[in-house]
Amino acid sequence: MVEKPSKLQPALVGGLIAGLLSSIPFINWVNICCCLWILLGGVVAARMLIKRSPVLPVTSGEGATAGALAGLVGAAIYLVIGVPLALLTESLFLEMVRHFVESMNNPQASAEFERRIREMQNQPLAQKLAMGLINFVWYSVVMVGFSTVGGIIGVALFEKRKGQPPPGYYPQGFAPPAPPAGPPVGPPLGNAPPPNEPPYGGGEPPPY
Amino acid sequence: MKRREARISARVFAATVALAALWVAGILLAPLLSGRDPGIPDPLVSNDHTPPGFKAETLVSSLYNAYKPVCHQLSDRSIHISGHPMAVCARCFGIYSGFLLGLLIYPLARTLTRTDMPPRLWLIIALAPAGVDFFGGLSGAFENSAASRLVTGLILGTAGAFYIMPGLICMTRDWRGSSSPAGAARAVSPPDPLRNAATEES
Repeated sequence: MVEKPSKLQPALVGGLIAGLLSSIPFINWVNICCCLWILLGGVVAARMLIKRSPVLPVTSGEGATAGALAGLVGAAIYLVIGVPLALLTESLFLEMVRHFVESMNNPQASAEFERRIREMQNQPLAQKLAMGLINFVWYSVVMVGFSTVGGIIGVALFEKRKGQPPPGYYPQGFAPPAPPAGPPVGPPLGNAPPPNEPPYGGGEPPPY
Repeated sequence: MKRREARISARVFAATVALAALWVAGILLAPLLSGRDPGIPDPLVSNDHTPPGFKAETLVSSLYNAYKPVCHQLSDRSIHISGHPMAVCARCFGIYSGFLLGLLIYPLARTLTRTDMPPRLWLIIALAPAGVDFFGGLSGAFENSAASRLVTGLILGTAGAFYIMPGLICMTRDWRGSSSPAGAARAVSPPDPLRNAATEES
C-alpha cells in the first residue's frame, strides 16, 4: 500500500515563505500585487508535495489543501513576527507617509493626514487591540484563501503526470505480487510443441 | 456515490460563485456608497472615505480597508465610479470580475463533477497578456492604460476560474471523503498487473 506523502512539511515551508515575506516591512509591499508572497507560499507548498510524491500524481485538491495549510501557518507566523514588527516600525512608516503627503503640496491632504495621526494616537489601547485583532482575522482569511489558490496554481504548473501511475510500476520497497497459488491455468505442458517446431504442426490453428 | 459527488460539486460551485460575487460587490459598493456625497475627498489624498452625515461611514472605510492587503489602491490606476476609485485597481478588478465571469460560464463548458484541470499551456497563454502589460508598463516600453489593465486582468481571471474551480471541488471531495468511514477506509494501493489483466479480459 502506497501512503500519500504528508502535507505537513510542504505546508510548513510554504507557510514560512508566505508568513515571513509578508511580515518583513517594505518587503511585504509586494503583497499589494494580488498577495504575491502568499500565492508564492501556496505554489511552493504544492511544488514540494509533488516532489515528495514519486508514485502517485498530486491532485489539484491535494495542492489546494497544502496551500490552505500553508496559509494557516503563514497567518500564525504573521501573528508572531509580523504584528510586533509592524508595531515597532509604525513610527518610521508614518514618517514616510508624512513625507510623501508633504511632497504633494496639498494643504488639505496634509491637514487630513495630521488629523488621522492625532486620531490614531488618541485611540484607547483596547480599541487599538480590537482593531488589530479584527485586521489580523481578516488578513488570516485572505492569507488562507490566496494560499489555497497558490496551491492549485502550483499543481497546474508543476504536476505533469496524469491519472494513475503506469501498470507494473512499483516504487522502491514494494515488490510485485506473487502469482496466485493453485493449479496452473492453460493447456497441460505435455501438449506443448517441442522446441524449434511451429505450433499446430505448422498448419492453420483449429477453429473454435 | 455519483449523486453524492455531484451534490458536493454543486454546493462548492454555488458557494464559490456567492463568495466571488460578494467580493466583486464589495469592490463596487465602496465607491458607490462614497459617491452619495460629491464632496468626499479622493481616497488617495485622504483616507477618509466617509460621506458626512451618512451612518454607514464605518462601512465605507471598512470596505476600502478590507481590500488594502490585496491591492495598492492607487487612485490614478483605478477605475472611478461617481468620482471615487474602486476598492481595488483596474487590473485587480479585471482579475476578480473575470474570475466571476469564468465561474458563470464554467458549467456551460465543463461538467461540475470533473476535477481535472485544463492543460497548463492555457494558463500560461492567459497569463501572457497581463504579464506583457505589467512588465511593458514597468519598464517603460509602452504606456499601459486602465482599459489594457482591465482587459488583460479579465482574461487572466476568466482562465483562472477553470483551474481554481476543479481544485476547490477536488479538495472538498477529499475532505468529505476522508471524513466518511468509507473514505477513511479507502486505501491507495499500487496497481496490480494481474488484477488489471483479469479486469481487461472480463
